[in-house]
Amino acid sequence: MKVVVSSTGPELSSTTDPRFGRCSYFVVVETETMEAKAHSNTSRTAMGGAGIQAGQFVASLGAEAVITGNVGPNAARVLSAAGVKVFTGAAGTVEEAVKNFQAGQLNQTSSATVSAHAGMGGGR
Amino acid sequence: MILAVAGGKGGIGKTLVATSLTLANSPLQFLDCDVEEPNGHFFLRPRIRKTEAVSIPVPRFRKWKGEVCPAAADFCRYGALAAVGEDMLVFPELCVACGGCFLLCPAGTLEPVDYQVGVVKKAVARSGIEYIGGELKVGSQRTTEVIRAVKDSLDPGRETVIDCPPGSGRPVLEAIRGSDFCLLVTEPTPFGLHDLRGNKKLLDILRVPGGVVINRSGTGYDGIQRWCREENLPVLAEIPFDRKLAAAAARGRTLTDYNPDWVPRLRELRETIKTKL
Repeated sequence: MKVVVSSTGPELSSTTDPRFGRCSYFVVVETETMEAKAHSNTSRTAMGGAGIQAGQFVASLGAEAVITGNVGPNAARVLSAAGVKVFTGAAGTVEEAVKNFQAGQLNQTSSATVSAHAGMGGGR
Repeated sequence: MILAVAGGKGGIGKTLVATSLTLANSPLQFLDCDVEEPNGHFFLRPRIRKTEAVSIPVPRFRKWKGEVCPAAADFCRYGALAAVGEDMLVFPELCVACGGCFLLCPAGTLEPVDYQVGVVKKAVARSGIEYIGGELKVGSQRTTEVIRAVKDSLDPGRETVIDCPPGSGRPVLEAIRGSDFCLLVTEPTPFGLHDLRGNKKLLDILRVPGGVVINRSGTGYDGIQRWCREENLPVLAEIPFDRKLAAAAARGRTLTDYNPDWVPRLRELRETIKTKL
């Protein structure tokens, strides 16, 4: 299946980004082959609504699931409307996050795990 | 005459000057345009008789009228509109009411609906002051829309004092715009001078004549007076530093409450301003 991982870099070996709407890259991974393709996140520097724009972009990639650290309320609403499943709690590299996802170690959520604007200022 | 009272930062004395000037020259009309943190009511103690909603038109998707419109969602720089599958999601708290989405969608699929961003309160305050105060809804960023609604409510036949928001940004511009004169409240510190420069630039752009009130004067720094002389900007009043005055102001007392000597002085200030229009 096709999943999208929020990442700080474009590679499988890049560290995952705990933020969804304001992450640096979206890495699309085909879980059977571990084939990866990165898209830089143009919503990262949006004044507002980053999660909404990122959510629409991810939905347009045709992914079945998103793997990220946390997801805010607006992004959760967009992803849920688009039928994209959300898995939170990702850590380590993109590859490790996908492996953890396959092993069923990530939490599926249909609602926000952080409040709005949590990803501003680096998400720390 | 519409007289705006502005200043570079919070706590510089804008509201103290605006409310005191209004009281000393009453009955005037008082507009609280500091809608993000209104505090004129602490000094003027209005009895609110009317609260009106301030709303902006935000889109609503009418599924039964037509197709999802990705072009409109893509156009929205604020992410207030999302096209997802068969639906369009609206995030009204992000909408700036530019109206672009309505132009890009086939007629009727998006309809404008009112979304409240604040209120305008109307009241009669002490000494017969006609009080109009704006309050931005908590969480909303539509400051200028609320300021505009306050200013649209003013009675143009009455002399008016406008208490402006702090700074020299867009909300201040909106509050001062259309005034006949603007008092700039500052303090004798390098910070006060820095902010005063910004305020003066704004007045030049708006072509509104101005004058300066130095609050907490007598602390030894003369940079404000020197700069004002160079800029030909009149210093119209000074409020000497006085800890007891600060304590009284913190309890909602104006200059005129604190010391009635301020009544004739503030009446004179108004006459001086009238000669500078």
